[in-house]
Amino acid sequence: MTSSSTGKPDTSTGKPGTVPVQARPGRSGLNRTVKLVAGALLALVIVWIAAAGSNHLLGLATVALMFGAISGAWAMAGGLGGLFSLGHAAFFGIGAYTTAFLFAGHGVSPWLGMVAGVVLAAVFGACTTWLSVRFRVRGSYFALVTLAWAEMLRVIVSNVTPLGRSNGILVPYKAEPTFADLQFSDPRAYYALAVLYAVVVTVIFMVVKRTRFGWRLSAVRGDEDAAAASGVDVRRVLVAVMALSAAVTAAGGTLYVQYMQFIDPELAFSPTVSIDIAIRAVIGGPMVALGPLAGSGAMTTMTEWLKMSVSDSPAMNVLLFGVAVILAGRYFRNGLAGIGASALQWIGRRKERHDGS
Amino acid sequence: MDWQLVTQSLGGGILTGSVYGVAAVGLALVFGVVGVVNFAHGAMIMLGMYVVWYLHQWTSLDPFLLSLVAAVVGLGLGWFIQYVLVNKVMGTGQEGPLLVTVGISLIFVAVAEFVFSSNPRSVKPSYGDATFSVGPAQFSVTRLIAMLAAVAFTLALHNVLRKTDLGRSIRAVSQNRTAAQLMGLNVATVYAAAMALGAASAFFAGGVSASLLPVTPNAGLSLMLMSFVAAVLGGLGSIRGAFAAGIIVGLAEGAGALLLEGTLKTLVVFALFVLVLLLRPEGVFKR
Amino acid sequence: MPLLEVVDLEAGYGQIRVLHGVSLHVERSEVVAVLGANGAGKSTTLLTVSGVVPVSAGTVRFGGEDITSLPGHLVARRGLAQVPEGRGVFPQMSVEENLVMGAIQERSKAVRRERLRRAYDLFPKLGERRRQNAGSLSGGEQQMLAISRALMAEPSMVMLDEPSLGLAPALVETMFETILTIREAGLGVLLVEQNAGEALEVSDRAYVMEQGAVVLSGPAAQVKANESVRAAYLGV
Ligand SMILES: Nc1ncnc2c1ncn2[C@@H]1O[C@H](COP(=O)(O)OP(=O)(O)OP(=O)(O)O)[C@@H](O)[C@H]1O
Ligand SMILES: [Mg+2]
Repeated sequence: MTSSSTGKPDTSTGKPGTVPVQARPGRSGLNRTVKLVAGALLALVIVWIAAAGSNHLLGLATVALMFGAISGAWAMAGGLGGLFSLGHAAFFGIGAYTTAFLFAGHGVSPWLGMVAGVVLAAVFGACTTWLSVRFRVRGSYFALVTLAWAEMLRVIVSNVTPLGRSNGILVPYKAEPTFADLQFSDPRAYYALAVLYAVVVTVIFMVVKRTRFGWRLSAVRGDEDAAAASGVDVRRVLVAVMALSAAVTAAGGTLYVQYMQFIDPELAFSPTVSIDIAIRAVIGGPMVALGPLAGSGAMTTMTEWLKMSVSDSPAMNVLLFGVAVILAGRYFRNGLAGIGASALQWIGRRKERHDGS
Repeated sequence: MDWQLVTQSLGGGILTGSVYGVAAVGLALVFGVVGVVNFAHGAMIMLGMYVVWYLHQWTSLDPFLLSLVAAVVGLGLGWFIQYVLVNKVMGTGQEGPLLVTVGISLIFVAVAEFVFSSNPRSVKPSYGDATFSVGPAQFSVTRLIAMLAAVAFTLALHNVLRKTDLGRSIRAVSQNRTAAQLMGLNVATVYAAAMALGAASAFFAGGVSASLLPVTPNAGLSLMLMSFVAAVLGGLGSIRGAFAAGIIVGLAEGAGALLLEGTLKTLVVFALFVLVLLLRPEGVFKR
Repeated sequence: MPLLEVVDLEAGYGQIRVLHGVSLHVERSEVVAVLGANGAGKSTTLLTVSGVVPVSAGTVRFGGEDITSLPGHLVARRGLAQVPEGRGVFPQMSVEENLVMGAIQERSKAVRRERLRRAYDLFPKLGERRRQNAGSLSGGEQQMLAISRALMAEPSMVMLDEPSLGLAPALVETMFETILTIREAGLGVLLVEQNAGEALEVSDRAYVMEQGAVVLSGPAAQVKANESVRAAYLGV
């Protein structure tokens, strides 16, 4: 290969079989280097925040990480599976409420609460998705149905007395919390937990993407009928990915409620939460493992910056999300990750031209 | 069963349902013609409420009259949104329009919060305390006028679509896009016109609701969900169907209020929604 | 100067290239047939000429002006009409509304009325059913409606995509007679047909397409006499 116009690796599709026939050592090396550098930088920032950050910064980072990771869970279904949900608050809320109810009401360890929440959310996700898939509800309608499910949960929970109705549940803070209570006196412990959760979600995402399951998802996302024709059980694949996504989201709900020590129907189930979860992923890039985390970090950073420099109205946040999501829909369908990839390609092309001359 | 309560709930359901109906009409129109589910519809309803609230503060004119002004604002805004944003992401699947309309909705809500704050506002027409009775039940005159306004607006919109060149062009594009293009119609313009009319109906529905509900930046959400239910129930794309379905949704809510206490009444509507979304023939969803 | 002149036209859908350099021309008062197997690219050619499918290379000239990059609605407004494959009537609109759509660019009510009258003269059946929804017409009636609708714009040229498809033999006869009437009025006609025998009967010239390219062209009689055409399209 001599000219730069041939053998361009196809980075747009993740389907097996479209792997470039002749991989270019130069560019994939560059790619790996960039990924390593990005990962190292991220790790550095994470450590730096833990070591030097103020409590304020630590709190922001904790929430950004938790929501970024939940966004990553969303992206398994919304990105890899092509099931654009606007109802992930349902799973988040199930996780948070199950944990809070068991812990505050019955003294059950949040770790067990997490397990219970995860199971409940997975079942709920599987059932509702099975219905949607069964009746071929997709695209915008899928988003609508998921929105409706979450709203139903919000209305129900607002009317159930043991769950505190619209007042919510206050999680008691133990005077001497133990690890079993999932409560800590040092804010860095929550932060570490959020980091751990984010790592786990990222690893799950990568595993899902790279295995046969991910291949099936990608086939279903591309063309359902063709996937079915080639022997993929479409219904099972979609139900499974939503169950997984729901389970991982619910675990995030547990961490969140233990950290905030309070939950109410609005915080848990409102459409705002669902939209927030979806948008962080969309902005970061829903097809890439680190995309949602990057999106979450970017959004939190931007929000804070705007709050300090322009106005500290909570509407600032909403405005920012609105503008960002329109830009993503209009120009950057693959989010920040997509922008990064394009930049990388551009650098690669420049380098190549340089080497070739 | 308490007869008075039944009349009260169902009568109230019909009155409220007509407002859902006029909101649903816009949603159905946009879907039927442009093929886009407008997630900014609720925010448009909310802006309509604020337009009427603001103008009412300022002029003290009748809020239902001012709803017409709101509708005109909606026309312009809808056109702009479709022309500048949504048209640019058409034809690349549903995700583009979904993201863009969600984004627009967020921006509208934020703007409303900046400009009007989140304190609830209210609009009270001069006849705000008047009531009338139907058998044992009593309703406020305001709600009756709201219903009449909703019916009148829907009829007017229906006539625009039936009798004018613009309406014919809109229907032609929704029935066969390629053929419409071959008649010399600019599809992008027709889409913008459809979104303009859809937004006008949202603004009008909001303007009418301003006298019935507290006006807040998030007030559009529940109205939007109700109009989604009605639009889907009405067959997505049919004006008469959407309006009639709006009344059905109102009735369902009224019936819910009889059976369930407090906010639980909306569960009946959501159950209806999910059922309708799931059980519609496949054709409705495959566009 | 030909009325329509297409030179080395290339077009397709997304990444798929369908037309690989199609050239043809149509004069005023001329009927030109385009024959070809399923999937040869006949409909794509018409849609590309009409500006519905974007051109990737080549030129389209109509009435001496370059319309290659004109969007579909502007091509139609210049007087190049098309009756698309499958008729493309607006099913939930009445027959009369369909016809009015054909003249939607004409603002004058009086002119529209006059054209409607002429359409009903041409096909009295349509006049009888003017209030009926187009979707409830028979296939043949829909075809007549689609042709009349195209003529409502008073175009200088009409392209017809398989107008005889699904029509009873008697109606096919009427349809081809109509095409001759259109030619008499001085219009250019580009006629895509599966019904090769009948089409060559009414045409002045013909093109044969295969896999997105013209493989044969000439006067209708000459094309009709061609061995491979006889074997492939005339079944003799
Ligand atoms: N909308 C479309 N998207 C993608 N491919 C298309 C589309 N329409 C047509 N094609 C492809 O383009 C090729 C030519 O199709 P076209 O409809 O032009 O053929 P045709 O000659 O009109 O055939 P027929 O006689 O069956 O009408 C075919 O391979 C077809 O599959
Ligand atoms: Mg064809």
